[in-house]
Amino acid sequence: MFDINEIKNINKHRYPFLLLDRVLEYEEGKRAKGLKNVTINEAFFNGHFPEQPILPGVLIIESMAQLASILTKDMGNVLGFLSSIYNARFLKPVVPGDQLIIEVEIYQRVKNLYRIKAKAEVSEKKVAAANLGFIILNVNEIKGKMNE
Amino acid sequence: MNLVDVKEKLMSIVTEILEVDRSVIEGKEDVNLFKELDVDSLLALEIIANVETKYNIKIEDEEIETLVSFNKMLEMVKNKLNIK
Repeated sequence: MFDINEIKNINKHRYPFLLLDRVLEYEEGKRAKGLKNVTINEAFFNGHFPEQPILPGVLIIESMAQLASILTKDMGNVLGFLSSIYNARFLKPVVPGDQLIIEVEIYQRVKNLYRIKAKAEVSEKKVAAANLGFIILNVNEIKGKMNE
Repeated sequence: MNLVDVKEKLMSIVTEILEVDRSVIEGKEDVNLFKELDVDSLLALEIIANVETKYNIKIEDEEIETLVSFNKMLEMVKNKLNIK
């Protein structure tokens, strides 16, 4: 659906914080499915943990957030700011060699607050789930907001 | 759900999101939360989103601007749920 170059056209995330490799499915304003391949060649595995590499749960959340960010594709020049995380669950450790399949779906919108249900699977087994809230701001508005 | 339940639920949503004790809200049900309690717009949207999901109602964008106090929110929820 979207390869890595298209992802980079939509999202502003870059190395070493681009945690989404491919978008598999995309429904405008509704939902998306994407994947992230997990490889030992990532710096954080040196410390998390030596001799027992496990993908940090917060990075799974970040992968979900980056996939959710793809949903801003048709909203113009905007950035989404993570504003809440509810009901986050980490059910199984994710390790090098795993392929994370992530799904996000908008379930509520209140003005520019979007709430998203997200889940991640490895080999068709759920490994993490969370509800994420995002505030969508026009890039031109952001400077003002940051100084508030 | 009766009026007391509705009010109690709203109180728990508001105090939980603002992380304040209910004594902060009680007696100030009519004050403007933004001006006097320094609630920012992000927290206001969080409150509205939680009100929508917990009462299973839909609040339109235009209605949100009017919901500046606890009692205004209560009034709106009562109307939507048809509670006198």
